[in-house]
Amino acid sequence: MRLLNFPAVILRKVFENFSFEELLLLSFCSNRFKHLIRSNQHYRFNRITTIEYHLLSNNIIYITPDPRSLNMFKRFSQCVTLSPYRFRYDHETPIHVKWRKRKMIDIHNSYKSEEITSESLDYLIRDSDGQGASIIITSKCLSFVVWDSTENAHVVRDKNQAICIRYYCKTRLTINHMFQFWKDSFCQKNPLGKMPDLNSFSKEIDILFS
Amino acid sequence: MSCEEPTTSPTPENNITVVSSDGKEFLLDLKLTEQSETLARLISNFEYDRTDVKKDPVPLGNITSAQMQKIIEWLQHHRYYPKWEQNDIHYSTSFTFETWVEEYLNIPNNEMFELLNAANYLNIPRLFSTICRIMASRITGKSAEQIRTVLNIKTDVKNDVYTGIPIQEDSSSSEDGMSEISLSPSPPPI
Repeated sequence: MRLLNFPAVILRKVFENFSFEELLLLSFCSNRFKHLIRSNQHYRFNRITTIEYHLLSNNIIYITPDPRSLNMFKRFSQCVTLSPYRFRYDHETPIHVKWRKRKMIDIHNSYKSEEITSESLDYLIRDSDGQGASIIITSKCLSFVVWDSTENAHVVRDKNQAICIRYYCKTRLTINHMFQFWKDSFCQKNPLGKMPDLNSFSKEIDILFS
Repeated sequence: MSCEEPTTSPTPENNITVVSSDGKEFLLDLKLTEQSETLARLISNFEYDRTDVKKDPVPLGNITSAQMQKIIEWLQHHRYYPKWEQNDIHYSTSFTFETWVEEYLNIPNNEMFELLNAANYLNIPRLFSTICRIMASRITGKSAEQIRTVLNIKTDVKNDVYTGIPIQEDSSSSEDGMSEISLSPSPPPI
């Protein structure tokens, strides 16, 4: 006997005992489940006015339905926790990408450089010349770093600086933005071939989030 | 939640007989049947709670003897529990179970689904909800692929939701391969 072999009335009662997050997880399993959940539990989903996505720095996305109707405690206890990387990189270790960031230290336009280190799981290395590119996404910004894998330049050196573009968004990044961005701007248009032109790249990001 | 069990001995007048689909008879205390809305209504309609009424065995065509034994075990354990009230349990993800319940429902999925069917037939809301919550707890925090394995779901999704990577269908996830022991009745000999 399987879950989907139950009559619709029983399935409806079963789904009523599931929370939103469990239903969401279950809906990823098959299209049939997705349609069943949508049709069976439509009356519950109607009560959801908003869905919030919170992307945390450790690559975990919290998804919470209808936050306005819940208090803070309930809101976070009810969050769906998803890690987009969990599905792909269970056993992979991230590389540490380092670069130097210019930071203003006083009002007279004096700057000092500051080393930034981020873990990157999403990176490509071009075979022909060993150029590498990483993307690091946090809740507030999106960094695109180009480095030389042959020189191990992601551990920054004087001669061969890693190039970094950081995009600070006004609103929080959503999961859709992340994957759309990753698929469209990076993987499909530049699949291990020519490294993206950084200017056009940043324009693409602007268009995406505008 | 726990309850003190008072020391009362059931008298023969307080019992009814139920017959499972494979013909096995079970003697059920009327106090136990209060947890099952189906049985409680049947007893009320036929006035089996009166001592002067002849009590015929109640056939339960959808429930096997193994399932019935399991259900009686549940009813006995929850004999003195207060009446189950359906709360907003679907808004609570932190659902805890007694140790006894965890041991009781530590069974293969196949048996659990059959027990769920039986609980629905007999309308035992506490058992039904508990099985649903146990099922829900088995899928919480798991990826789609892991849930498919746990609940023995065959996917019709071509690509992974997140990665877009094509999913390889697992041919071994047939419903026959779930558990060797089953509470369902064996097919009649041809």
